[in-house]
Formats: sequence, C-alpha cells, structure tokens
Amino acid sequence: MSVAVAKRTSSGEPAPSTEHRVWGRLIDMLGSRGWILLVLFLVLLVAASIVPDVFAPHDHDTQNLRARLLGPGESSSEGLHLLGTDSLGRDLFSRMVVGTRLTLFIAVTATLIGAGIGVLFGLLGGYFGGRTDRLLMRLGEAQTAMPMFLVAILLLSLLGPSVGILLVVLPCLVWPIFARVVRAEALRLREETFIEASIATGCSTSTILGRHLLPNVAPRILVLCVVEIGHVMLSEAGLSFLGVGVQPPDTTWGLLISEGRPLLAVAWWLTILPGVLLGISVLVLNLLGRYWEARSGAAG
Amino acid sequence: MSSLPLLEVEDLHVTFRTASGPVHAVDGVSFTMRPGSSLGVVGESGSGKSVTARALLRLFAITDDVQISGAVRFDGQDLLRIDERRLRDVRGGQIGMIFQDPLTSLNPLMAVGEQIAESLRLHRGMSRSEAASEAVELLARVGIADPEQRATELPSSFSGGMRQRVMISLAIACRPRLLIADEPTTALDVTVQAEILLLLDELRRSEGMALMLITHDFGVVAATCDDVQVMYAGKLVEKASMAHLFDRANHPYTEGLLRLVPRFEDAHTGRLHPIPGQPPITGGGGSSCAFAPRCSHAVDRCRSEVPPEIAVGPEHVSACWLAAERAKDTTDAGHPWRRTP
Repeated sequence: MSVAVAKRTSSGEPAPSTEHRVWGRLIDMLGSRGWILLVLFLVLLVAASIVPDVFAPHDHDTQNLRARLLGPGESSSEGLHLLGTDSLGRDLFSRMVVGTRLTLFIAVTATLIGAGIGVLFGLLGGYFGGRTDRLLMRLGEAQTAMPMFLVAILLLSLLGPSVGILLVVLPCLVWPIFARVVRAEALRLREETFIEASIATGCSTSTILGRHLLPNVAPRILVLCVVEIGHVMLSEAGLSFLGVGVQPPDTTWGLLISEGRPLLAVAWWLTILPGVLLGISVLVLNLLGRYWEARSGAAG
Repeated sequence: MSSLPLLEVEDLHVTFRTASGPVHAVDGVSFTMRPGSSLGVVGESGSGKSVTARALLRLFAITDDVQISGAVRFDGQDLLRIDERRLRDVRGGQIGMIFQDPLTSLNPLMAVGEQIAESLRLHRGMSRSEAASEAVELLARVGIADPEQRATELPSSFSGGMRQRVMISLAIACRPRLLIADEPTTALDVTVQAEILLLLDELRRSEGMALMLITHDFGVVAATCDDVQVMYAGKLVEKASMAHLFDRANHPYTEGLLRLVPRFEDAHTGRLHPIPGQPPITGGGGSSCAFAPRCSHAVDRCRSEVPPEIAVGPEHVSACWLAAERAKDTTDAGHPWRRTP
C-alpha cells in the first residue's frame, strides 16, 4: 500500500475509499518533485491565455477552405497544422490556445465567486451556529439537492446564453461545497481558546472572523479552489457542449468539443484533442489540490 | 489603599439552559475588589469560579444559552448592562484575561508581536509601527529574551511557559486595571509555574493593577494573593484574607480543601484526606447548604435552610450555620504557608 494511504489510516481516520486510494496512488507516482510538472503545466495554460499569439502558430480565425479537415501533422500552404484543421480550415491548435483564455477566465472567476459566497456563509454559520447556521446550511442543501445542471440549462435557455449568466450559474454549483468545508473548520476553531482570547482582547466579530478564523481555514480553501476550478471547467464545457454556454465567435474548449461533434466520424481530432486537453487540465488541478492537501495534512 | 472599590459584584447569577434543564453555575455571588488588590478564587472543577470570571466580561460562547443577572460594577459602569461596543473597550482595554492553556490561547498563524500589536492598536489607537515597537517592549518586560526576533515568530516556536508569558504581555498590553487569570499555571510544570506567579505578582505591583487569580490550588493562592474566596457549587462559602484563612479556616469545605494539600507533617501516615462524595452537578435552587451531604459536621438545619454569609472576624465571612461556634474553637496552630509578617 502506498505511503500516503498508510499515513491516513494510521492516524485513526476511517479507511480510505477506492477513490481515495486511486488518488493516493497517483499522488505517490508524482514523487516529491512531480508537483513542479503540474505547476509548469498550469503556468503554460495561464501564459497561453495571457499572450496566445506567442503560442498559436496560425491566426485562429482565418479560414482556408483548401485546407479543410486536415489531420494532425498535415501541412497546408500556411504551414504545419500540428493538431489538424476544422471544417473551415482553421488551425485547431491555435483555436485551442485562444480558447484557453475564456475557459480559464470563466472557471477561475466562477470558482472565486462561489468560494466567496461559500466562505462567507460557512464562517457565519460555523461561528454563530444556531438559527443562522441552520438557515445557511439548509440553503446549501436545497441547492445541492436541485439538479443544478438542469436549472442552469433552463436559466440559460430562458435568458439567452452569455458569459455573464454563466458567471451566475456556475458559482451556484460550487458555493455549497465551500460553505460545508469552511463551516466544519469554523465549528472546530470556534472552540479554541485563542478565539475566546481574542474576544477577551476586545476584538469585534468581524475582526475575529476575518483576522483570526479566516487565515486558519485559508489553506483548506486554497486547496479546494484548485480542485473546484477543474470541476467548474467541466461544467462550463458541458453547458457549452449542450449549446447553452459560450457562443461563437467566442470560444472555449467545451465549445470546440461541441463544434467537432457532428464531424466525429470524419475528423476525430476536432472532438478528442480538446477533450484530452480539458481532461488533462482537470486531472492536473485535482492532483495538485490533493497533493497539497496531503502534504499540509501530514505536516499537521 | 483607596476605599472605593474597583470591582463590585453583586448577587451574580449565571444560568445555562441546557437540553437536560437549567444549570445554575453561579448562584448569588457578591464580592468587591479594591484597585491594586489581589484576590484568589479557589474551588473544585465545576464550582463556578471560571464561570464567575467569564461572566464579568460576558465571555460566553455564542452558542451558549446563558442567562446572567445581578450587577458587575466596574469603574462606575455595570458591565452586564453596557452595550457590546462599550464592553469591547473594557475587554482587553481595562480588564485583561489570561487563560489556562497557553498552547491554544494564541492564534497559531499570527506572529506573537502582531497579536500584541493588534490589541494596542485597538485600544490605545497606536499606529502600526508604534504598536510593533511597544509589543517588543512588552515581550521584554515579561522576560522574553531577544524580543525583537521573537516578536516575529509564530506561537509554535515558543514553549508552554514562554507562551504564557506572551499571553500575559498581551493581557497587560493596554495597562488594564484588572487582570483576570483563569488557572494560568495549571498547564505548566512546577518550576515554570513559580516563575509565572512571580511575574504576575511583580506586574501587579509595578502596574498597580488588581489581580483576580482563579485556581484550584491553594499553593498558588498563597504565593500570590492577599485575599481568598472559596467557591462551592456556584456559591461563595468563605471569604478572608490569605493569612486569616490559613490560620482559621472556618467553613468545613475550606478546611477539607486545606487538608487535601499534601503536608510534610502527614508524610509518615502516607495518606491524603479526601473529602467524601462528589460535588453536585447543578448548584443552587435548593433549600439546604450545598455542602451538607459531604459535611461531617452537618446538623439538621444545614439540610433545611441555606446558610447566609456570617461574619466571623474582620473581613472574614463564612457561609455555614456553625460558623460562630467554629470560629471560637479553630485552633489550628499555623499552617505551612502562613506568611511571615
């Protein structure tokens, strides 16, 4: 059995589930330096979204009907198309690079909004307890119980798809997760003497929440953010795939997958390659989050 | 010494409403403290001594369903009736507090200097840099070596005794007029205990602040306090000056507590003298002396009427029906902790 898993069980926590074991094994495979690779991948993604022109070999919007549906590695008069071209002869790799910006922007922004709401609710609920807590947590449960994806589709088809509405709908998917984690931590920390001591020092409630509770839950929040960005990315791709997310001419990885779907039989790369990139990104974010979590957990 | 009291607690009641019914943790406690005086509050766990101290600052968990009545007059205002904002000025500003467990009473993620500075900025309106340098001075004053360096460190790099020193410097940062120390030495080992008590005593004298020391250990009180009061089941059972109490403890409970402390004279018998029975879980509400079931002197009256506080000497009261008779024949010829005048 892997080291990480053994540690968890020896500390008296319940035996890890299969899911945990798989993650544990993946994290072990990374070794002690593996996370650098993960971070490097993310740095590349961020760089691609800031300066896509540096990475994109072709203009992502230039159509070239003579170079339609070229497979990966084939060349046209414009030069090599590393990942092939789509039905209008646009370079797939360049389109993926350009799509990175909006994909990341939506995922990060929506996660941060969701985290903001969840952290606030979690702190308030956990610290005050009682009625406040019950109200906020029931709200979260109601939200979780609703098939949010269906609600999202409904909303987006009623109001018309736009990035703005995505930034309203996607945070709703994640805030209850943040609220639950932060609440549990706040409940535990509330009993610590240093919180009582800060009350006895005359700190106001907002100071206690902001300066004493929040920093003590911050590491958990950061780890959760990283993992949730991946999940939001998937959700956005799902909505875009269904046609209720981002609309052309804007592009995201999810939209690329959706655009390639009718051509799956003739040009597999249009669907599969953006999908692979999306999958790898989500995996990297998950691994990184869980790796940090395991590390900080082991450190105490 | 000034005759105007600094703190006047009058008929303080604290009741927790719990799922299994109300618990009267403090049941009609009254006492006063003069500026600069030192008072030891002694009792077993659950006697209401910590709850009394917390009630002074209304320091209860937000989730506790607690009812406080009575009056706590501090410096002319009733702390039980002022609003939250003014109470925050009193907390830390005029009344400082130290807790039992120095390992958990500091924020683990904030440099200790910063935690002290926070209080200084809050109550004394200092700027960030003023507060930072004052924090270093405070650390030096409580005997922390290399204070500039240590101020930037996290609590985890301090030992238990050192953390309690930090906690003390935090509590006295704003020159409070009253320092409440809730079992400040219980979690420390004996040599460190003595140092901390010495420090508290020294600070009390140099700062001219009053000290309220809550403990279950008579040795701690003997080393630090001028006055003692003994609590049992939420009530004060005996109040006296230190020397007086050790010489002529009146209440049978106090006597029992004093006998519990191991003494050299008893070493040959090799035994302690425990008080039989258990303290009641909920004090108050009864119509008898709460200690009667465990008291070897109890008479019928003890089981039918609550004893009032009876004066048995100058500034010495005892809540016992037998107080007057017992005062006559207390002939304990000096206790090992009796202070030499």
